[in-house]
Amino acid sequence: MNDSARRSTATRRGIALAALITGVILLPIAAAPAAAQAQPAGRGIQANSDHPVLPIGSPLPDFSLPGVDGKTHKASEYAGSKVLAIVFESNHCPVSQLYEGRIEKLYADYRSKGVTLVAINPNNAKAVRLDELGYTDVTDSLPEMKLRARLRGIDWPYLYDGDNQEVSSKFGAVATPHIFVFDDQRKLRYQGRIDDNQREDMAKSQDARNAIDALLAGRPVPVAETKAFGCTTKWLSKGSGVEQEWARIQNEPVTVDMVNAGDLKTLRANPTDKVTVAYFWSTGCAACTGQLFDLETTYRMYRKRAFNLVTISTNPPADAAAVMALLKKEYASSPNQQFATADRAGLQAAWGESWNLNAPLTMVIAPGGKVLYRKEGKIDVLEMRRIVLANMPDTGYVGSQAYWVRALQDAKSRR
Amino acid sequence: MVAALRRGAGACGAALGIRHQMMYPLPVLPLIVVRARIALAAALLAAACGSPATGGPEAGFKAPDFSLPGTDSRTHTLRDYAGSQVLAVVFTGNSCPASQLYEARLRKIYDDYRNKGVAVVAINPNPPGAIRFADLAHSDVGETLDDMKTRGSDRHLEYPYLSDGGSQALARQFKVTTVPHIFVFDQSRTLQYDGRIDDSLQADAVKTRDARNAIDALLAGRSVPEARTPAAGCPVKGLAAPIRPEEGREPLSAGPVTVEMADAAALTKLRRNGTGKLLLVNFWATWCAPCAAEFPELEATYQMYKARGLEFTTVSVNDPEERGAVLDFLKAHRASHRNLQFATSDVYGLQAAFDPNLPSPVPFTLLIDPNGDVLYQELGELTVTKLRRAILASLPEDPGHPGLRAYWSTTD
Repeated sequence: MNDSARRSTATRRGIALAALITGVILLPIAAAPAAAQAQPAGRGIQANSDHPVLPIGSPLPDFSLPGVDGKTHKASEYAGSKVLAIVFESNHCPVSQLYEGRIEKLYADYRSKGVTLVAINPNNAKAVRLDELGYTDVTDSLPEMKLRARLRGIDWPYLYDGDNQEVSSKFGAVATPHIFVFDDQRKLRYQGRIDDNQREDMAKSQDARNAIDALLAGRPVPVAETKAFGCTTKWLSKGSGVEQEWARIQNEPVTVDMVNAGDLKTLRANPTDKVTVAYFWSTGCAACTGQLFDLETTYRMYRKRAFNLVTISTNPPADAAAVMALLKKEYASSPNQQFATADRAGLQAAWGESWNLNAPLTMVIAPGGKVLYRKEGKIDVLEMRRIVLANMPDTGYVGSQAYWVRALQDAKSRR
Repeated sequence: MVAALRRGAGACGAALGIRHQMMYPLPVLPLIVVRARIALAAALLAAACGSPATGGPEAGFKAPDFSLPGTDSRTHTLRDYAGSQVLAVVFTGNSCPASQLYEARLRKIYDDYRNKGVAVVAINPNPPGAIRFADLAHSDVGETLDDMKTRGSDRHLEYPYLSDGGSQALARQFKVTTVPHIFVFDQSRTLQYDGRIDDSLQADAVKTRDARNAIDALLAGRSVPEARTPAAGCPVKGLAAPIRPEEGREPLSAGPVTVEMADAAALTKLRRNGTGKLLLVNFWATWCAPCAAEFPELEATYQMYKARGLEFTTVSVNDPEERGAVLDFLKAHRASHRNLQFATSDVYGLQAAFDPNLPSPVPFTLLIDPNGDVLYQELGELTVTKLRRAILASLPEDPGHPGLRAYWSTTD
């Protein structure tokens, strides 16, 4: 480094130091602007200029969006509420899922106190790739939001903004979840996280509740702005790679292994560490082939986790070409098998189940062989996915498995 | 001979052709092939060092017919240019720094002569499958046709840019071993000039504009002042080595993969960047699909530029309890650079310790210079070429190719 470079570095450090000191002095008065000054202009981390977060004090952006209740909801219909909380949440994001219970409590605890909570999904299913659906049964379309709402008993308004993301853009929603709290004049008084830890039992600071409580009590909000951790909003403008993903899937090799009784017994015992879906089908069975697509989609969603799908054609070996043709038509890049002999009954017995070979059989098998799901004929693929989700270990995101276990229990108790 | 080549390669910093040569089990090859390969390697080396190219087409060489895909998604043939009085064929490529430095001059030739009956056609002879990470130390993209399209659109290239990387058949007919290398044909499509575009890699130090002189002479019906000059630049890839199948990506190095648990102090220190180098930092999580999707691109980026001084540190925002899954992921991606993971469950506190302005969601990627200044940032899944251009604009200037930082700073 030469002398002038050294000097300029020193000057920059001096400015940074001065800014830092100023920032520290200003901190108690205005935390957010001080933090911004701590970085030399243009050289620190910049705020998102494409979708800036709504500044504190801004009026409520107008909206008119379809909800999971089949109705259109407008900003004006909540005029009677003392406080309006808008929370951005989504179906696919595991962080958003972990906050779902807290959103529910927030809604329930404050609804009788003049607080309305409205959830908005900023994502568009067309911009969410299959490989982003590793922790969910459904993606982020409005019909699938309805399915999620029914499953989880979501009774707060859950609106869809994915079509053009206009409302989400006005708010500058950075993530799901991200909450915005407006006062009775519908001025923004708080935005950021719901609380300070994604794990509910570790949360210490109830930032959204603190803001709402302050507004209800006519006090100033203690902390007006915090960060919001979670999954980045899937902005349509950013490009999603959905088409590229589909092109890649179409190029994946499709192979079939011929299997004998021993292979089937091993598969049935599932010595792997993966929750495995075994799908028995044959080319002559229309109901069978119709389900292949949903199962392959499931494979594309979960394959990066402890999951496997094995399709087993019960066709005799002579049908190998037809089996391959059908699998290729579905781009079935999952492990595929076919009965190695024409002794279909014998191989069926080796698997240890009896079913009509002209109908599909779907089984979900836990590592070690425990049967988690068994269905002859048409399956409800979402039900099957939820069972898989509730049984896959969540070593990569602790809490996700419990969410799905509870979802299954709640759904059962509501039935 | 081999030792001499090695020394020479080291001195010129262009050991690539030689390395491929060395990969051959020499004794099993017929002697004549060995001789040819050593000669070729020597030619590549000579070209890389700027001494006269050996070989090249014979006098009276006629432009061979071709049928090659272009960045405009059309197939181009020699006949497409039959209406032009003069045809200039330039072998060039994406990854070669000399090609990059000559790009503006090539564009100027195209612009200046397009209305004077001169056609300029750029042809990339590099086979995408022969490109190694180390070959991309000066490039944001590789040498596939898609890569060429990216370069063409980023740099607003208007001249035809065709790929011969599939078979290298045209490159072999032209006996071209170096890029950039220009061939100027007269109206009868007989070769009248071949060699360098001009006599200096540095545009402001040029004294003789050989290619323009040749074109001007042909347009004026005069004979070309100098018919052949040496072409200096980068060796054409793949000529001395077997062409790999395009889908096979070079395996990443198998170094040890570790993850350090990072507390607030470690993160504060990371933000200040005490490495003295350009530092790439990626915040990610195992549950974050966009993070997983972009990770291989970041890994490749590091492999491309690490020899030029790029540092890469990943920071997992996963809970400490998820350390096993974090390590499994990093191992699967052969992430043999510095990897950190949040040491406590206090995500917000640790993020603020890194930088109070750090966006909280993942993925988030930033490039920090040795002073701690942020040169690039991206929230959400990144566009890797954009990141790479920022890196190329910020890496120390390559002493052999001054002007590259400026080249990469002027993209977009």
